[in-house]
Amino acid sequence: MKEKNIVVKTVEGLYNIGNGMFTVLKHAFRSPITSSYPDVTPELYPTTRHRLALTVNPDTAEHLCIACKQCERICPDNCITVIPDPEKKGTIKEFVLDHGLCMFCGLCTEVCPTNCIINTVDFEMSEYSREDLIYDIDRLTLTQDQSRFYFDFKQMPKPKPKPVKPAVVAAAKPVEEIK
Amino acid sequence: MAVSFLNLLDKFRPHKVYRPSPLVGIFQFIIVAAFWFGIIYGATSTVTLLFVKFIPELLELYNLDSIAELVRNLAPLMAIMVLIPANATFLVLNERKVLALFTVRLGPNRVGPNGFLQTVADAVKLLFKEDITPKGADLLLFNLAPVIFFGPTVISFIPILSCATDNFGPFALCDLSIGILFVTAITSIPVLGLVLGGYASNNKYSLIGGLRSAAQAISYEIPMVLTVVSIIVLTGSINLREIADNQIGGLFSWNIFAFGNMPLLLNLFPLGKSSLIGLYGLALLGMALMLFSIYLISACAEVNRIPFDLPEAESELVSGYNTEFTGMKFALFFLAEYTALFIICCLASIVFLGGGHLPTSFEVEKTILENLAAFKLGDISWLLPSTVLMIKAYGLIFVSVWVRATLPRLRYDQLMKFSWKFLIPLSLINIFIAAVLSSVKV
Repeated sequence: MKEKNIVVKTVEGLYNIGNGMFTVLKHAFRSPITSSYPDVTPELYPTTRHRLALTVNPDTAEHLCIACKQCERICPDNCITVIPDPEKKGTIKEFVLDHGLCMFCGLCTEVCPTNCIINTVDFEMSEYSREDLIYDIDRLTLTQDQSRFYFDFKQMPKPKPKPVKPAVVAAAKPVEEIK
Repeated sequence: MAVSFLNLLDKFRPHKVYRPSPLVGIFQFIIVAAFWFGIIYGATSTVTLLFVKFIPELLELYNLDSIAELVRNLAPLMAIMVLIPANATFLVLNERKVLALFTVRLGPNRVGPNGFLQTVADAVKLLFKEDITPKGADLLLFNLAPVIFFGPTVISFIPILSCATDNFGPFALCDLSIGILFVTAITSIPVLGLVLGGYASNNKYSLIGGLRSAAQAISYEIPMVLTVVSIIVLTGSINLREIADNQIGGLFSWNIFAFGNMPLLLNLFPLGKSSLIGLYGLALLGMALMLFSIYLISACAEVNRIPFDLPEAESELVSGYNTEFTGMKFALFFLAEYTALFIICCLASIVFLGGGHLPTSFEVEKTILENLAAFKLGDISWLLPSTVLMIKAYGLIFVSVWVRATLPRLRYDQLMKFSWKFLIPLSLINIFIAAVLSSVKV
């Protein structure tokens, strides 16, 4: 009885080991999952939240920020400072964003009525000092081509050119289009 | 529900992912392996040529004939001293790359094209590391342990070299008449190095690792040697080159296929008077396969490969017997471990898989050998048997990495039970059956 048991056990063990080895061999013919990052930049989804940036109108190159300060108010880390232009209403003079404080929650991009502030897919922003992480308006603002890319990429509604007088009405329009 | 979640996400992806074709990794690895084979062969043959021809000729110019003769006789040893480090360097890379292939990774690919020089960089790093001796260590034994571990692996390669070159020129010196006995005897010495290393380094993990390796080596040496005894009974020779030469003449005269008695199986099919001879062939075939598997399993345990790597179980003992060793001493341990793997794979391919002979008829092999011998820069007929043996050994090494990727480590009591209650009785029975089978005259 016991001899038979050993034989059955041996055959079962051999079968199971062979089964496992075959499964492992099949994996040799799969393409590697590892992404070799510095050589090949990873593909990212449009909704990924990385470095913040300000868009311009892709057609007219006009800055989209209307200085409503909603992003400044909603920011949990208080990392955004919007300084409106005192001479012209609805435009900004300076926009300071501290990426060292930012936690990339994306709340500012959700409240922005004109889709001006967005999360880009760029995540390579190492600096040598903390001060370098404080971005001013020049470093934040994207070029016309970059803005066009992000409007397409994130499937955001194209902004209408700003009418000179009723600035508030014009700002509300893109939000309606999303709905 | 036909569209999976991932496919849905793919619609929003900006561009396709970089996914190399599954065969690209395999192809790149084959190129790396080919280049490494070139390096190993080039280095070994250059050194051999230096010691056989150039240095003796230089010495003879100054009338130092006796020293020239001595240098000429040292050539095989020098060839081994070059072959083993170069080969172990590639073996480590081979292991890492093949394991990466099995675990769907890329493996080392930073140093050199496609990780070509990774292990060279590792070796250079180990050379420059500080040599630390732990407090309370037994200084003499601590320094001696890597040497005791490494030395025998070099020596045990000697008879294999004669088989690999088919007694070419200076390597006729290595043709020991007790080849297989010599290798099995010498490869049992390194365990002493492990035990000493574990004992001398004044570390509980090292000590446990050393003791475990001693127990394991003692348990698994017995089935291995008993298997070798069965092979000696069946092949009737203990000279490695003779065992290999008995397998000339195609795939079916290899020892793994019923010790060259495969044609006997043909008697089975029209069942009748001669089917008894067929059954005899079948018994020989089963015997050969069983001996091959027992040899591979116990040899794997002997060199502490993964399903049996209890002496260096990372999850329990930090790194086992080599925990306290640094720099060159650690490199020696590492080198010897991989060389031991290479030696057992070489031995298995000589004893079971036809050694340095092609799986074709002898005429084809003879034509190739004659063409190589008539090469205009000199006789290079050693190239064929050594390459064939190398490829067979690397095939077995691939299997060992494959096993490493599949099987988890055994528990300690399972390890002991498997050897003493299963392998040793089985190999004892095998000797009996082998004696009966070899005494039957067909």
